[in-house]
Amino acid sequence: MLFLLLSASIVLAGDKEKPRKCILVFGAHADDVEAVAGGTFAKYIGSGYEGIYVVVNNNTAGCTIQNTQNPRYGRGTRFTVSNSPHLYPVDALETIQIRQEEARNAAALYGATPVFLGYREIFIWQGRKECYIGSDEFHQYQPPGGPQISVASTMSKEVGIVVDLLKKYQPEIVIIHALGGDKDEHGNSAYLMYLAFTKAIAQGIPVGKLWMDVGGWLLDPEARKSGRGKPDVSIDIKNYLKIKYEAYCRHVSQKSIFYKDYVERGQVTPEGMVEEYITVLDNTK
Amino acid sequence: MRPNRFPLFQVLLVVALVVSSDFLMAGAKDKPRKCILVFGAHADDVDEIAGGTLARYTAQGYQGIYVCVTNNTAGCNIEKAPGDKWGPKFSVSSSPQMYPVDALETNQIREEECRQAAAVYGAVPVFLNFSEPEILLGRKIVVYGSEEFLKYSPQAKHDVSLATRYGEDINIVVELLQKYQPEIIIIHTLGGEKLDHGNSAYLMYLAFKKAMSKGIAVGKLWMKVDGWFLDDTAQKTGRGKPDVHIDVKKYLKTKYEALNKHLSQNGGFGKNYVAKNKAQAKETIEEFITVIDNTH
Repeated sequence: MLFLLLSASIVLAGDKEKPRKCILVFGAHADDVEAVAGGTFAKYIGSGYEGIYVVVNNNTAGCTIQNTQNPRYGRGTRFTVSNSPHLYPVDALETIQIRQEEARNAAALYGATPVFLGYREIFIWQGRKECYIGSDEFHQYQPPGGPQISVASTMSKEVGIVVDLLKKYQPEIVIIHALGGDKDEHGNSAYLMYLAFTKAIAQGIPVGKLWMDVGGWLLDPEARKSGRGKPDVSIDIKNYLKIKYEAYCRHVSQKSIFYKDYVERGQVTPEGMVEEYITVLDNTK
Repeated sequence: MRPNRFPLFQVLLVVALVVSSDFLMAGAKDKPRKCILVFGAHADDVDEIAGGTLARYTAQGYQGIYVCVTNNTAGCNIEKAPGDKWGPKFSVSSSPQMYPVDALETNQIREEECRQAAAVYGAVPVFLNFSEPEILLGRKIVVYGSEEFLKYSPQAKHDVSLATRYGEDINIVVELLQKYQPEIIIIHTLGGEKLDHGNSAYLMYLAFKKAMSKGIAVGKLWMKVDGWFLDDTAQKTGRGKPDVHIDVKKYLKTKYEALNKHLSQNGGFGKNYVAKNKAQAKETIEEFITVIDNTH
């Protein structure tokens, strides 16, 4: 009896819990899920995976009035409040609202759950002035949100928030921006998830694979030659381009019509039909 | 009539020589100088990343540039100042607790330590003074972007991660490269290390690329191997495998002598390390990954 109990517990101990059929894409800004892995996300959800669409930042910058789609003018980004040829950014609070709404719309298109972590973007727009975190104006404005993303990566409480997210969804696949190969919030968001993922593994949370986008120095000739920048995961997204670009088009304040044209006019290059990644961690073995 | 002193073939010969020398000049890009620049985020990071390599190259006649990227407003503990022969036992209060030194003092102390460490190598210290995202006020950590941080207003440029977005900040590093035209530049791990480290590395990466596009004579960009590169997955695939190996056995003494100048950090640990001859085999080699090679 004792022998049976012992061997059963050994078998149980050896059998680590498996991650759920769930794919989580960890985008820094409202439309980054599409940019990093829109086709892959659509493909996995299409094959029955739960999709988690994460927006890490609070998006207080990056919304331009001229990019807003106006059906009266048909194709193109010609709408402007002032009829000026210049680009005018939308204020911070409006940008948060607009881009969050766009992200919700895009997530709904995939049938995914949107998650907003609300870390502070390092810029806000006030009027036509750019204010950066740490400045007097930024502070006076006090946009809602957690700490700046690179600071968050040093705080175990913040890393813990991402660990909780992994615990909740136990995703088999997690996709991030390129580690160290992308601009500030992209690279730092990726690093935040990397820290959380390793912590989740240490805590026995069933997470599967961590893939990252191939960007920055990984695309340079040296990394190509040495093989460091060579992706080891290639996902054929040919049949999911429509949904990817439809989701892109939900981000009306960003590129809206451009991407619609992209698919309708058949301008997708062969490279655009495959999304590629580098495996950072594989916890399934 | 004066005789023709430049017959046609002579003129053609001169033209041909001028054109070919122009081609040669255009093909032969400026070579970087015999200079090694180590780009550390904090005051003692140069020694941590590549102390032995810096010592070795400067001993071979390379000019050494010892860069400290941030303003070091955190990370100095009173208890770490060495009070006796071997260890960090000194304490103002004799308390077993660790008490951080205030931001302004930390800034001064660590800069001074940095200058002394650079002098051990015979290197030129450079302080870029980008803002560290934390300061210590009293015993409280104050984070960048908070009201207290703003009120304190430490004299510094942008936070490093923010600096990577600004052309003017990247240009500060490009100018540094233009000034020294280093053959070798060493950075922290891209995407493999905590905020100031990874972001400083990315700042230099952007500047290095910009310098190349401007024809500034820079050589190789190496990075330390850390973070995800050390994980099993990256080791198995070879992504995390270093391609540069520098034997620093003979330069460990210099490296640890320099490390020991950072009294507020190691307070004698490095000294023990060498004095007791406890250097592990892996310490005798410093390894890097080549990010960019502009010498081909």
